[in-house]
Amino acid sequence: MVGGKLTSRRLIVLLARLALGGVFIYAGWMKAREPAAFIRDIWNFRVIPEPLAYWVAAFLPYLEIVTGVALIVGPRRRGAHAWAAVMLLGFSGLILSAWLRGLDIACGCFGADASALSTSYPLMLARNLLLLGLLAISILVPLRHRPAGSAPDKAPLTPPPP
Amino acid sequence: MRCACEPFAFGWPTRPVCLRDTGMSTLREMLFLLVGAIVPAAVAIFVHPQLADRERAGLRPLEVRLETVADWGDSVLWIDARSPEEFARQTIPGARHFDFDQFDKAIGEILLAWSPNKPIVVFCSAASCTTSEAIARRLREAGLDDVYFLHGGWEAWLAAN
Repeated sequence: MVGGKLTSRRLIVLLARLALGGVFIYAGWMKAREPAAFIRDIWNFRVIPEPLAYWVAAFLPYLEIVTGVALIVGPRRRGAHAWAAVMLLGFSGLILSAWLRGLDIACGCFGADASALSTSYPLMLARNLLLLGLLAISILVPLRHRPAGSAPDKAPLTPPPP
Repeated sequence: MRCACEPFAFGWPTRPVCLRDTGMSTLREMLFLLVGAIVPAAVAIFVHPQLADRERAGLRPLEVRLETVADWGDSVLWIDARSPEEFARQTIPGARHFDFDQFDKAIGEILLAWSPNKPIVVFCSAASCTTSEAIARRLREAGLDDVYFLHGGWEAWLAAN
């Protein structure tokens, strides 16, 4: 974590990272516990071939957990931001495609036990939109506030003298 | 004042961040996290009981794949749990209809057609249909041991034939 004074800007960014990372860790853990149910949820989307669903169900929960940990703890956060964006946009696309195809399925986003959260398409998309908002805060809001006219952290790169 | 690595950069001119460098480091970090996820996933594939049997992973306890049923040959008794209209339109050759609303009558008809060592496979209309599973469970509870329901249902059979 970045040391120094806890400003309201920093607090917002840290809370956004904590919430987003926590959601990813929770979602990954719930799926990793019950991979069979997650495989069935993937089958229900009818997007990828069945044998491939096995590998996705075996791997994706751990990518979510690793991404969540990196979002909260810090190292490789840029990569975690990128994975979080890829996953959230991918999941949103899948949910939207299932909605457009009229499929009546659970999303399996938080494992088999969270069916109440996983049955309404507008609710699922709104939830993903909220998570994308948290991601945007984490990426775009700088932790350090630099007053106008102050010196930058690093000297600007200039071409080497001839 | 220009960015040394390329002309287009974030934060120019006060705090230049080269897009090329940012992109490469992001990709490197993504790769690092990917490897970090592959390791526990590889362990889970061998250790987690729900992933260890790759052929049956994701299937429910009484669920069978069409390929498995095909290996059983022609001795299978197919039970069609779809609506009477769908059954009348097209079904698996030799299949018998099962009316879930008249369960006792339907089970009597199934028992007349069944013989020992003849597995029963129930199917319904769609991959997400749960009627076939419910019937298979009820038939098991009624004392029949060799009862299953078809993974993918009627659509799976139609796609394969």
